[in-house]
Amino acid sequence: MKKPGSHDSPGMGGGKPKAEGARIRRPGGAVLPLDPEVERWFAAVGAAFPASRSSIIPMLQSAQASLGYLPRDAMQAIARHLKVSPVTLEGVASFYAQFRFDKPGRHRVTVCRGTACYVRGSSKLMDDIQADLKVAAGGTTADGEVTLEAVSCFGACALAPVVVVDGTVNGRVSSASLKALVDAAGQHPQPQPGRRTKAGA
Amino acid sequence: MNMTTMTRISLAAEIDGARTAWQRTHQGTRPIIHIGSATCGLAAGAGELIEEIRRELRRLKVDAEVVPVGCIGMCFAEPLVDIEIPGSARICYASVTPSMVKAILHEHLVLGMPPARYALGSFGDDGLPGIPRLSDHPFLKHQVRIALRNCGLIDPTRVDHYLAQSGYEGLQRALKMSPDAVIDEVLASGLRGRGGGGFPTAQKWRFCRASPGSEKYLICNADEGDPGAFMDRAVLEGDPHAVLEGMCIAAYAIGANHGYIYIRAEYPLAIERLRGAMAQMRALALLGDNILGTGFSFDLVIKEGAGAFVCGEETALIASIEGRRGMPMARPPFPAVKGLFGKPTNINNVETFANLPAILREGAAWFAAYGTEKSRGTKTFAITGKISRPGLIEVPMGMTLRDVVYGVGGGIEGGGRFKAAQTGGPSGGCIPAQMMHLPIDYESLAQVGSIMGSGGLVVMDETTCMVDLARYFVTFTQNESCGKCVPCRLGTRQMKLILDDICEGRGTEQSIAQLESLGEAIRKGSLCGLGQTAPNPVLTTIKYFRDEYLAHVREKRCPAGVCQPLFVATCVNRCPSEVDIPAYLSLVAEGRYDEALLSHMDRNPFPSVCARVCPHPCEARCRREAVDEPVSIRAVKRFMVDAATQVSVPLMQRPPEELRRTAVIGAGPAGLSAAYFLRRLGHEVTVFEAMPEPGGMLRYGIPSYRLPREELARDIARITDLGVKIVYGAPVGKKLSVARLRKDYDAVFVGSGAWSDVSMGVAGEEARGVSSGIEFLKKVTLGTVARLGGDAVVVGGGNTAIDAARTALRLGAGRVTVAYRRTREEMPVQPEEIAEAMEEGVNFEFLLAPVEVLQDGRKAAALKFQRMRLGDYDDSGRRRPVPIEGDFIEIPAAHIIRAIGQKPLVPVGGPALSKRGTVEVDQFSLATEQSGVFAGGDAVLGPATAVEAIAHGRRAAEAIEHFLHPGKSIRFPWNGPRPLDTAFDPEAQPSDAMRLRVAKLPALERRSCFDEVELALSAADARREAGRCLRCDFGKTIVSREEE
Repeated sequence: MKKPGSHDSPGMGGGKPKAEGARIRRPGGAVLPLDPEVERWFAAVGAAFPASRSSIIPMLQSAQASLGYLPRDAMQAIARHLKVSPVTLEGVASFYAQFRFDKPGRHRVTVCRGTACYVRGSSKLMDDIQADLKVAAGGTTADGEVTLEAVSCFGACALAPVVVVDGTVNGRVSSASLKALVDAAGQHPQPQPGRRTKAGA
Repeated sequence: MNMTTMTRISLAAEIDGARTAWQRTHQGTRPIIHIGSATCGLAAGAGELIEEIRRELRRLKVDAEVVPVGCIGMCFAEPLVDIEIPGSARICYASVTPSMVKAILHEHLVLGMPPARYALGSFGDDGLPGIPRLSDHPFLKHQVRIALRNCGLIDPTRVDHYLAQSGYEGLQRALKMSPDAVIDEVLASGLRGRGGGGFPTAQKWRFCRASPGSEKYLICNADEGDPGAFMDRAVLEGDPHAVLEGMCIAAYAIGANHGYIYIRAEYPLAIERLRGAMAQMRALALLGDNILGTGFSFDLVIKEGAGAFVCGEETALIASIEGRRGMPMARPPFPAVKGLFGKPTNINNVETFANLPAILREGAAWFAAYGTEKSRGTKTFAITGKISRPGLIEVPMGMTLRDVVYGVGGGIEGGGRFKAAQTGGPSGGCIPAQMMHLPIDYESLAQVGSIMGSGGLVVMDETTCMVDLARYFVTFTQNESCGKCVPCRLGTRQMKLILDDICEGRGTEQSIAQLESLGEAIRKGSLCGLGQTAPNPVLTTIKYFRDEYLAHVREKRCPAGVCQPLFVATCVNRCPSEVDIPAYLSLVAEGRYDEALLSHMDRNPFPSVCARVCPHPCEARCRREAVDEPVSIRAVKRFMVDAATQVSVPLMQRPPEELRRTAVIGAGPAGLSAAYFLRRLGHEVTVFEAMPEPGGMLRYGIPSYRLPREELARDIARITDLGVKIVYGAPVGKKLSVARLRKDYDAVFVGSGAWSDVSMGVAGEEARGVSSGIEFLKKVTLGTVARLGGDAVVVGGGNTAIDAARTALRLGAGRVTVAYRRTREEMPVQPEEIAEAMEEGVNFEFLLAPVEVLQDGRKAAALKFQRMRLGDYDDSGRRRPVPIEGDFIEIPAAHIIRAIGQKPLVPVGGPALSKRGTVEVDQFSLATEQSGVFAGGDAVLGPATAVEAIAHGRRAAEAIEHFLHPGKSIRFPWNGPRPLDTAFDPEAQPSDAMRLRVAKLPALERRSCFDEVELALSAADARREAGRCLRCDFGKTIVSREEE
């Protein structure tokens, strides 16, 4: 739960096809063009990072912030820019829970699993929403609409249980009000960040 | 240098300007509106509220300043809005909704009359009529706010607000001192690391300062990963400059020129606030080269953590900043010698830094005056979980857990009972209710197996399962283990698997022993703090809640009703007799009353009795409550027992050589239940009863208006019809001894009840007219007391007291008064019974303790009481009554009935008693120290409920069977699989009917007779009410009933 996608990420050598990677890493060192979106990010932001090892995490964060996840091309671009081996980069990236290697759904639902939320029934909440969306925590629904995640604490413990839907913190959520929140999010084609509402309001 | 003078002048001018501006704002004419806008406030709706307030101000054409502030900690009252009209008190409004804004703004700003109905309190010393002072609010009264001094009071985005609150004075003072003098000052303050370990801050600094090398680093650990903690977030969001000023002071003291703030990415608002504050500092020469012209340079970088709990550990955090996997390293070398990029590094927590400016400004002695000898100052706590007032608090070290939970936190949400508090997150431990007097400081917490931690304090009530809680934390640490060392990586995984086994009904007592030895190994063998402390939640829960673990492994039962595989529905789990409630409800809904009754009889042979006197704990755990209100389970049962015509409970068919002769002492609910279940197993049972009729306390202790005698007789007839023999007028004791019974029978069950009464211990108690409640009720049943002339006073607050008072009223007593030494809230009796007694005209006097019976000749004339007030909380969470010196009251009465307690009455020569005066038994088998003698009911529990006594009867029958046939496995008929075949469509909408209220006899009518007060539901009503059940049990089986 804590490290969505980390252990079966392509770079872990789990035997997954490396389609995108292969496209870039050609024998002889010739490099093919990056995915245009990655290219745009790199040109605008990425290239400015100092080429030192301590830039790894900030750079991964920057790429994920603009691309939504870390596609292979982004990993390649970062590794090249920082002059670290892809395996080193992969090793760091897969260690941290924040980084995702699969394209997230259009909406993000994050259920807090902090102690206060747990004591106030977030496990039941998670079970119910998993059954409702038919997806496990860390996964994305088949239609690519919703990514369901768990976070270990959101720091809004007094409002437990807390669920964040597309960046909006919702307190005192029940299974019923969460379903309503997720349904409501589905009505908007794009997430509406910054709009903060109280659960059930 | 010119530059130097300029910056100096500019800060002085800035501070001056800030002060003037602050004063002008607060003394001007523009009203100021503060809105708590930290993450918690925003989640509660502060964002919308600001818009609504701005709109309303425009509409009212009022020019006011709207200031978003941080979190004052009163999360329970969020969103909070403070309004201040310069010249008058700042009023705090709680739980403000957009619809309240109009009224508040109109009344406060236009009419000049702050609406008291919405106000929580006023700041400062002068209150307003009808509005209490905020500092008197119990949540704030006990707090001392040092680290949180500005949170919720100033606009965190404005440095001038911070400056006006003496901001950066501590730094200025520090810069005038030598670094060593700064360290000495901090040493004298006694400040210890607030991140959890509690290492003395100054000592840590000294190591780092003494390390050779000119390049040193300072790191602020804001990777607040403890689930259930948000102190750091609140400080960073509400007062970022306090932390930054503290960092500057620390950097100066250790000689660091570079600093990092390692903060969780999950705190975007805190990061934003820090960025803004750092820019303001640079503009004022408080950060960067040559700070305030002193030649000291210090610059800061924010590093966002990427979600790894282990990075809270120093060496892992350093690895993460360096761009590596966040894995800890063996120490030494310590970071103070070889830390970030191989240079000497000092790491402190957010709260530690936030304390520093105040210490440097006010001096070490001021800070050290708070707290205990070894733990100086204050500590912030995020108090959450099942608490009435969750929030962020700061209290002096050494305050007791009890005062924090009850005094500050307002006790358990929903009036439940405090079970345990968890401090220190996944590294900490659970502190049980009996340790609530524990002072909260580093040493005391370590002593009980927990840690201070960063300050998460999660409060739990009876609905939290401690085994599941341990599993929750181990799941967390197992996920977060970095994997570097084996004890932590594999050990936590094994612990999790064992806990899974226990929670899912596969555990044995061996599992508990394994957890203990594994925990010890992980603690000793792990490399870093994460692993070393990971077993704490498991070890402390085993230490303090072993019974709960044992219930899981021995009985496959989860007392808290959390571990799903162990029960079919929470109502069943909560019922001491474990009656299959959804089964009989659904059978009643289908009109199958006989089958419903039979299902009830399977586990509880007293359906008529329980339909009347059971305090129905099942209803308190009914899930229907989440929809509207619990199902009225007892009312449906009442209808069911009336509607069922006949049932026949089959006896178990067994070979004759397996049948034994058993004896039961006492024909009360415990004894008759034991007899019933033993008889169902085929054994011969003889019950010895001292009284002329059966029922025990049900007959002689409960008045007939609550339990009609024919109803009692109906239940008992079903038991005797099975062939249970009852011998009346046969008291067990000297003539007929337990030893003799034990010789004549193969096993004996003692269910002799709690008939001994507790005396008041006051002068004149021997006077005529003074009696015990239980004796009084017994005499009324026997018919020896038929009328009561004159007034009566009943002393006590339990069931017997209320029953005695209502009975006295029905016997014609004049004025009947119940006097209790605490208040109505603390009375251990069902609230509806108090209400019914009041309706009938019983008078209640609270906070009175008896001191003397005043006599007229040898007859009682009045009872003299000492008036009491509620003092401090005791470990049960109730406030202890303490005498008000010299304040007495006399209540005239011819009849004084004491009902302040009952103790078991155990036959002479019977089993040994505990210190409490109850029979000592093994809590699972109910076996006493005499072989073949078992005991249960009130004799073991002290005065308890019928349903608990019934449960004991069944448990004893099972244990007696195992005793009679040791090693032989038997499937008890009442533990078989559920043959339920009622229809249920899980997809269908649940019934939308509301909970039915049970009608009662009018109060005037009932006070003069002994007719039953509660009336029955009609068939249609009962079936509809039964249909409200959500059928939580649907499709479920119970682990314990599947095996054997």
